[in-house]
Amino acid sequence: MPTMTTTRDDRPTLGAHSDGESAPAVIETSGLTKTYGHVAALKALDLSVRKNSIFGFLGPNGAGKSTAMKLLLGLARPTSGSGSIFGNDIVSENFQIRRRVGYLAQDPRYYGHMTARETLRFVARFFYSGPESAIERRLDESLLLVGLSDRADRRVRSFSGGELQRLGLAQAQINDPELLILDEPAASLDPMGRRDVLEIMARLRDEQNTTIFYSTHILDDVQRVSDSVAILDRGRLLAQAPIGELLTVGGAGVTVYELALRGQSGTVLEQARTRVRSQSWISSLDEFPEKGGERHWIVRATDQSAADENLLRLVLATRGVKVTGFGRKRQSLEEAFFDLIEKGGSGEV
Amino acid sequence: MKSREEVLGPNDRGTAEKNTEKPEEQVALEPVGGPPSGIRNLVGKENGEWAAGPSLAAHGIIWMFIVALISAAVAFIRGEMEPGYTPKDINDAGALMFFVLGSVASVIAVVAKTQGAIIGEKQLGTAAWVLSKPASRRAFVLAKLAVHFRWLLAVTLLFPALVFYGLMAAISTLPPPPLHFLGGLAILALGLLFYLALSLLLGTTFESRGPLAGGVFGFMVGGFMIANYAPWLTAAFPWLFFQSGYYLVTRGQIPAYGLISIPATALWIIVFVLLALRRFERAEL
Repeated sequence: MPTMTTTRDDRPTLGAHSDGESAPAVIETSGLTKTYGHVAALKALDLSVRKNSIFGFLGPNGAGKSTAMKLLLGLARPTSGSGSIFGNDIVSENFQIRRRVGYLAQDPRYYGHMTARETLRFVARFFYSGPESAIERRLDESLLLVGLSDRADRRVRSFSGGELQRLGLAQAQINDPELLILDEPAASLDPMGRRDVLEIMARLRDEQNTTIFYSTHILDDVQRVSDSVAILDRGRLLAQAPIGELLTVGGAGVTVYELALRGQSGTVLEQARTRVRSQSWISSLDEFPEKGGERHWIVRATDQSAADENLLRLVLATRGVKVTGFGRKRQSLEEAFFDLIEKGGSGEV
Repeated sequence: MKSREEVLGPNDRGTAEKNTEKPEEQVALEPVGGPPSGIRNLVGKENGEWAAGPSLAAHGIIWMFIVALISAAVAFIRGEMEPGYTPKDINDAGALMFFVLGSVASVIAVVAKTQGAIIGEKQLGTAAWVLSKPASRRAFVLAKLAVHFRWLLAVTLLFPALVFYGLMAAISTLPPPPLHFLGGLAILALGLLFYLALSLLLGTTFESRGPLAGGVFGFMVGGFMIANYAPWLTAAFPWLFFQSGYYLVTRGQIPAYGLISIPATALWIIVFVLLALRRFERAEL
């Protein structure tokens, strides 16, 4: 089973990796732009996806996510800018790229006259010349992986949206790719199916060192499984950061902490407030009353290291104060997403 | 869904670094060589598509009836109606029908079967899916050209020709000269390839089927009309291939315009295929 950890907001995560700044970039784009007539589908995208990470690509409909993926795979040509995958140019060397990549399209379509097994065999033969027994074994494993073994010999035209999505995942990983590019991989799935897809993605990263670059609308999924995130709106990149960084509130040079605490008296709490405010690395402290006499503090610190080490200690050093909750304030991905989209729309980013 | 660990066992996939400790199955699987890649696989898929659906049987029955049986029936009726007809006269009557119907049938079959060959795949997204794998765009187009030519040739011309020839041998008691008949058939086959190449070129050019169907039919019908007003143009295109075939079978020779139109058509086919490959190479999927 994947490592299950719990963040402060109690959302389970599937063992998200550290960002791995030192890991080499698998995908890199520089000023990647695509226009259709007068419509700019993608505007000067600068992207860097690190090896062995799960990279969530977020944005509303029409943001340019699918266009970016098609450009990376050589299915469309950039109007300007450049990009590389595994160091290979996405325009002139896309054949070499496609040998090492697995791709699942949004709303995937396959040949209706083929069965699921025939579809996977068709895909496998682009990568492997044989022997037949080894190819068949790979097909069986892939079918089992996505739970389609019992429907392996049914024609694809009779498949539901969810079954097509599962088949899509199976065909995308049939060549044991170093990079998976998944366009809305969980879009047509029920909650169980979504969970399974996320687990498979986490396993592929953890057990196979596969890098996964995927787009989705489902923000909760991104938060659960992604190491890094990019947010795109109307073709423009609004943000790109490790997920933890994106969810941390405060802005440049400021870290925001949340404390829940009780004091034996107002005087005790005032002492604690004064003690905290007197620190040179504290820029503000706001207090809000909560139910049952509890207080909620929002503390902004300019020195994260000093705050991490001393803030809680300072508060607890005041006799008669009990701290029931402490941590860096994090926003949900949904809050960060809408915040960026709204700021991006007004040109503030 | 099952985890890979559950599927493969803990030791199969748990490698720390890719390719440093290959699982047993990876060693066993042999990677495909370099480009041009995927042509065999794509040919297999196109063949499977022809064989899987009802279209093979439908095309086979329709064109057998129209090209072979109607042509032979016309020859039979003419022979019955004209007691003075020699076996050659009966053969000539049948041959005219066969070459006219075969020529038209091949164009209709090309449009019916291939109007969605590339456009349909572009619209559905299957072209993008296939070409996200290590398959060359050239292989994608050439596989369609080869397989559609094979099956369309078989259902519109070859099988009907075999049946027609057998029936003519029975009706006239003296079948047409076999080599000349084969030569005429080869001319029709070249015409079929011309319209197929044109259809694929239009498929790489347009995004909907209407212009493709209109373009191919329009070219054929327009050619028949142009032949009346600018006969010299017929030397450049396969519009009068049915006449060339007919004359070859009935008179043992091809008229001058027909002789020129054969290499000219071959040249057009090469141009169309090269243009189709070039266009599809740049297509946005």
